[in-house]
Amino acid sequence: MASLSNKDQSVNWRRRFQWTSLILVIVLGLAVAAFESRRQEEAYRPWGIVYNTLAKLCDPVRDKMLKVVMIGRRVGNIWDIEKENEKLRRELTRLSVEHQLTVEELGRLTRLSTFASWQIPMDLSLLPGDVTGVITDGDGFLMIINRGRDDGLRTGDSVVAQSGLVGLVRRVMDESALVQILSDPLSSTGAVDRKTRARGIVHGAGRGQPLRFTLENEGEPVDIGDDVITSGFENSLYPKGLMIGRIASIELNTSGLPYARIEPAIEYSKLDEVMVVLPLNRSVTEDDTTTKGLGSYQIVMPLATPGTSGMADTDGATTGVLPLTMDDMTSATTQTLATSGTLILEMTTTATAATTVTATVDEDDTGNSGEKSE
Amino acid sequence: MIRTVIFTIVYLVVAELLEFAIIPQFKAISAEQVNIILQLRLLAMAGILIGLMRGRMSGLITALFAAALFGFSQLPGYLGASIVSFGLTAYLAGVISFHLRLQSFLSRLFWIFLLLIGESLLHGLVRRIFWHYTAQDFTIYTWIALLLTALFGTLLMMLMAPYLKRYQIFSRE
Repeated sequence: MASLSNKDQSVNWRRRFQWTSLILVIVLGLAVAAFESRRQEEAYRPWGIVYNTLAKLCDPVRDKMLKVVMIGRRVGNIWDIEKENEKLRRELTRLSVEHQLTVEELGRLTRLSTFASWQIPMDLSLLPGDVTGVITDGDGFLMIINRGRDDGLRTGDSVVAQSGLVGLVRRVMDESALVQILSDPLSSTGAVDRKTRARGIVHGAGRGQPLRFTLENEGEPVDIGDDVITSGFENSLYPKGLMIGRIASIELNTSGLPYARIEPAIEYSKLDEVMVVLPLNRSVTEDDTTTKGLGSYQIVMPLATPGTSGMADTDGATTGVLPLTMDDMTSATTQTLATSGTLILEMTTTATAATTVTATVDEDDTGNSGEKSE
Repeated sequence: MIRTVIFTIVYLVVAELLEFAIIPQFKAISAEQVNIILQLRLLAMAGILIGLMRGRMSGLITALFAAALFGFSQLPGYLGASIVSFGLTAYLAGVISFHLRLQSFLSRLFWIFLLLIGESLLHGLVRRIFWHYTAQDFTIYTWIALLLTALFGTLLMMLMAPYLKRYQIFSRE
């Protein structure tokens, strides 16, 4: 057998070396894979420095690339930006308004919650309302609230707030009412010093001015700082015990008689919520076109019967409703409301405001009879 | 030799940055279907390219360094499989280039693509053996990614081969 030449031998050795290297690499790879699978995170520790070095190499590039990608993304989305902005602007506006309303409502509820601690007389109820407007004319001060006839209000109802008395309902519409504030010069109420029980009348002195407390008996003592409350006497417009204000000073009038200046318990110009004091037994369905204390009267006239004389009021109307107003009952008179050939409908008003409506049948009973008095 | 070393170093650094620093950032904005670019096997191709251009041993050594970069840039569990798959395919690339004349674009593309497929399968097989989970499925995007990698490698080889490659067919290794 011819021996191999040196060149062939070196090629053989080279081939063996190459194969051996390959096998060693494969074995090494498998051994490392086995080690990694068994040790997992622990396999990381000895090579932490290598990991960190590679991370240091990649991180700066990674950060720069992220910025480039984000710029590209923004450019790519540029035609959506305006739409997105518009949507976000609307959302922001909506949320701002909602936030404001929520804050306001929260304050309102907080204020209203103080009414829960009120001890009101058993025969009274409180109807909450919001102040929706103010009418000022010189010293006058009228407040508009969002409660009216439909809610059971009547002219003359007291209006109170968190701290005390506000005023009186002066005019009632279907869904709103005008309230005359206590500080209005035309306003007055019976009052009493809570501590000394000195009685008198509190008058309004104009917008922003302290109230005047004129004592019934000028010799009765009152002290600065005393609370003044409504007296609630029989003919008083207000229930008893409502806070009016606190005596700020005691002065003499032109006649030398003492009177007290009262700082109102309420800042009327800052009122948002009020309560209307209503009698518990008042029916909301009553139609009140008169002043307080008078009921409502509706007389439905019968249809004209063919062949007979139908009823007609003074204007000649034969059907409809005859509403009665205060003007109809201002004096002790007997008024004929309507007549027919056989029926007379009369209303009699006396000085004590008792009113009687009488139907008098002259010849036959047409069924239209009734009597109502108060 | 020096040119080979410089080219290898430059290629490995660029491939490392591309695979682990640049391409992953696109993940944040790309749709799922655009996972193509996230599956480029640039580091795996390092050994293949050098193996094709400079022979099996050069390819093997390059593959070892590429596997180290690949393995140490991720959590433990990839290093061993990378050493096996990168090394074996780089060696095979050297064998192929020794026995075949890869002069045309398509022939190079074909073999590089085939070797990359082999590398991916081998890599998945080794991980499955030791980690006991299903290896990444070969989706259509994987195929496309490998093709794109092979295309890139072929273009690079067309560019660099005149400077690095020796004609294996007439040399004795």
